[in-house]
Amino acid sequence: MPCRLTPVSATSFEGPANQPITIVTKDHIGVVMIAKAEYAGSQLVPDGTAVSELTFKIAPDAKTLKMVFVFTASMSGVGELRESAPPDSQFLIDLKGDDPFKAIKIIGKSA
Amino acid sequence: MKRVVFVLLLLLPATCAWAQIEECGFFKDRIKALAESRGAPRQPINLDPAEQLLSPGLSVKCYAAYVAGLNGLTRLKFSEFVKKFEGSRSDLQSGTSGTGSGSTTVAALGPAARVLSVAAEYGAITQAVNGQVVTIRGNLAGVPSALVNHDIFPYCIGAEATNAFCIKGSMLSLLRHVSFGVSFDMSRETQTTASPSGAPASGGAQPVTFTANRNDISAVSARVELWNRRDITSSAFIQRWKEQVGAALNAPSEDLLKAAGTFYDNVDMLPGYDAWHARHVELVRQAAATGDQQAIAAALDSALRGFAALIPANEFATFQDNAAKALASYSRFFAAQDELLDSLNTTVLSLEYTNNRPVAQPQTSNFRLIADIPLAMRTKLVLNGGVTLYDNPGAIAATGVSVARLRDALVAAELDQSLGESAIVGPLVFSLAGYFQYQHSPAVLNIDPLNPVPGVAFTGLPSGITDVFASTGNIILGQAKLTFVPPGSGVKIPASVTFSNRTELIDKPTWRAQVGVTYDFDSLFALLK
Repeated sequence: MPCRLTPVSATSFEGPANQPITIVTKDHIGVVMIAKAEYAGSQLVPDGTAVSELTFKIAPDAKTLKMVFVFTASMSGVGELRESAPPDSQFLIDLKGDDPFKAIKIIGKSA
Repeated sequence: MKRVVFVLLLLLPATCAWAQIEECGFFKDRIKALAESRGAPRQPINLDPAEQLLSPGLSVKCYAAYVAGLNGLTRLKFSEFVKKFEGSRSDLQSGTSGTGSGSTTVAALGPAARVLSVAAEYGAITQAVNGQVVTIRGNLAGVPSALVNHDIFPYCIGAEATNAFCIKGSMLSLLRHVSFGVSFDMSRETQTTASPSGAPASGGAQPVTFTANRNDISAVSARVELWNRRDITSSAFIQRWKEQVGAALNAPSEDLLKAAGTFYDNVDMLPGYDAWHARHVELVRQAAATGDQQAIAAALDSALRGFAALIPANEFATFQDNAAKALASYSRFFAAQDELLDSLNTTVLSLEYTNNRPVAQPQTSNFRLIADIPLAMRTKLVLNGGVTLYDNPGAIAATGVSVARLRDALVAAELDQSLGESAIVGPLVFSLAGYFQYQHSPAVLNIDPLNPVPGVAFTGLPSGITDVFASTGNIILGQAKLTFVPPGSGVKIPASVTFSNRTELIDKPTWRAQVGVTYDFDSLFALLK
């Protein structure tokens, strides 16, 4: 299955509205996980947990996905956020331990 | 007038933007990438360093630091830097580490409280007399942590703080390896009465002298962690981290999401943001074509000044306030993250020195090596080895009792098994311990009729005797202990039962029970600000 997101800027990605996508963290230095993720008014990560993979439906129009990442290597940690659609996968943004908050826009396009 | 002030504020970035660029790792990385690629666009666009450089969503921290520094704002809300200390951990040594009066544990544990803990224990391990001892333990990192918590110094945030006068996480981590303790023997808090010499032996009211004994300190100790191994690549460490990170960083992560998210929303809604982005990406790219990092930094400097100019004058204060809040939330997040990493169980080797001042006994010094070895997720082994020396054997010999400087040597082992859900932190820990003490020199008791040893009665002792000593003999004991840790309370309640073949004074097998309660002020301090 091909990836659904198309980058339109460094932090904006277009995709088909109402279709599910899966984003995953990839570790480079230490382990990185998603502690918080807020998208279209919903919290995607259950309270008190951290995950390395999230699946959600692309909301219509442009919505911001705000995320907080946690790192085993603290501020030295390095990783990346990717869209996963096995066997396909694509890079979305870099993740660094000294910048744990990231905000990207996902623009849901209606068919 | 307002407009003049605002224009002046906008001029200030000319001086501070350079500092922000120099100190921000995100900016530096992109400038380097741009110089290497000479500004050539990269595809896909999300890999392009010029696009990344001017995307605040990728580094709200750097943009917030820039906005917060626009008018020299340095006093951020550091009062919010309160760290969550591990109030619920049961693997910290809070009580006395000796095995004498007022001790509930056979083997001293490795880690000490992050800030301060108080333990009240009743019982005895190797001594014949039960006692009540209150032990205060603290950590050298507590003071700088308090300075951070009280707005005096900020917490350093990575490379960005290299020029700031701040408290570094590495320094706190180092200081956390040194702890101290003071034990107070509450059983000495007694008043005794004595008839003055020459008073009539009987009949009528007699004047008496009240003697309050205030010399309550029964031990002082200092401990340094000689070795603290944490292998962040080991599967065991990663497993522990994964199990705890969600809960431990839940509040700081939520706080960061909210504060940084609010600042990002402010930026995202700036009028003219898209035009600013498009224009300055091109200017940065042009500067990068030279391959000169200084030129790229100058272009970024210009872009940041243009970014500041987008902020409406009447929203400037709110913008800065949100930037400051975002930076403070980053600090809290990093502090909590480092705290969690430091708190994860590791193999710890500590050396502890304790100066014991037991009631009615000569002062001794104890040197103890403590190894704290996690065996599995919920199981750990603690090993102790040490010697106790008489501080002044000569003075003891002057009373007619000959002793060597080496009083005793000990080895101990304790196996802790958590019965709770979250590793060794509890909430219920069952421990089995064994202890062997080689008694090289006899225990000595000082006899003072005015201040008798609580719980000890001598029969048939000739008058005028000031010191007695017990027969020497090796002490072997075993202990079963249950430590209850109410979640989130900072309270721990250890209760133990100990069997020993003898005590230091009495050459007979004994069964004893010990109970204690400790309070970790770490969690309380976290609530103060």
